[in-house]
Amino acid sequence: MLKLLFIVLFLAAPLFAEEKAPAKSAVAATQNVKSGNSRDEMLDEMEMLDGVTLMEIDETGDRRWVLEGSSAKQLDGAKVRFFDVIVTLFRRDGTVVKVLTEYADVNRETGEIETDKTVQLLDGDRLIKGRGLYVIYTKEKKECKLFHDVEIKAKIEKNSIDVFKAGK
Amino acid sequence: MKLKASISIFLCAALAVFAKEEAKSDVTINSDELKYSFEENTAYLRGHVVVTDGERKLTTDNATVYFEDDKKGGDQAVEELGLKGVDGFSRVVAVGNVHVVFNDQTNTKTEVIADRGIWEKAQNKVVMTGGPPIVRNGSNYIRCRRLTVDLLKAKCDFESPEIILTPSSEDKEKFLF
Repeated sequence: MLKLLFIVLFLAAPLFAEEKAPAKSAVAATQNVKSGNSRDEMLDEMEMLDGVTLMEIDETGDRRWVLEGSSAKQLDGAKVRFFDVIVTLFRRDGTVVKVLTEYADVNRETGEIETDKTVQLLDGDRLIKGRGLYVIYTKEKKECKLFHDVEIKAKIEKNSIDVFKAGK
Repeated sequence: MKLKASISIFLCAALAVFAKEEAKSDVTINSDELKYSFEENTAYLRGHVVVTDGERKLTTDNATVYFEDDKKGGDQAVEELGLKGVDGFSRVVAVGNVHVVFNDQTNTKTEVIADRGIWEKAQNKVVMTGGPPIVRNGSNYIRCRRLTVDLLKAKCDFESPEIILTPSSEDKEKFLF
């Protein structure tokens, strides 16, 4: 089992906006955390949440990557599908890489991230687009693959990125 | 001999235009597949690679792009999504069916064909090898062992050049009659 520290934060906007009864799935997950159930059990029950953040911490306690999604759904095996995804990958030199996609599947055991959807990858001033993504971002290996229709722009303008158009 | 020299100068002038256009930015690279190394800051592109820089276009089977080091840093970059400053390529290595197309000052299509092409930003040079490299301008071309284009000085060096002149049909008629 990969030594990952997964922290799931439920940022359910409706819960914070008004103190109404929270969504069923969010309650279940929160209760799991309080009762001390395992991380896997907690993630197994996770579905249709209003805001999810998944994080991997490295050996020194720093964030290695953070995945933010609007919701999540358990798939077969060790995979969890996150929707409306923004992944932030942290480099040792302090720079970051952002990966944006409609949905992505995370393997809880290996930490691999995959999707067959269109992907935008922001690294400094360069924008890389493509379809179909595989990311591995561990201590040993830090790389990604795009499988179709790759486009790299060396210099980008802010309005060329869909996430800004969407107002996220 | 004079004619050969003039053709050579003409082709060099064409390449000089290629060199002077270096100042243009907005480089776009397309390909079928990509492997991107976050630590080495390198992209390995495979299949139908097309590098477009304004009017210039480079096509090749495979390419490795070495990006300039990005030292713009952490949280500030998160806030701005790294959109400040200028970032680009430090080195591009194209391998297999390398084909560069651009228009010279007379708007004539000029092509450079080779097996391998390396562009080094530090030296501001493009080195084309293998094939052997051929520079074609209209119906005339130069074949050489190695072609080096100095983008800064707008100068090109042909190693062991062989100049091939093919008169156009109009020229042929003039010659015959």
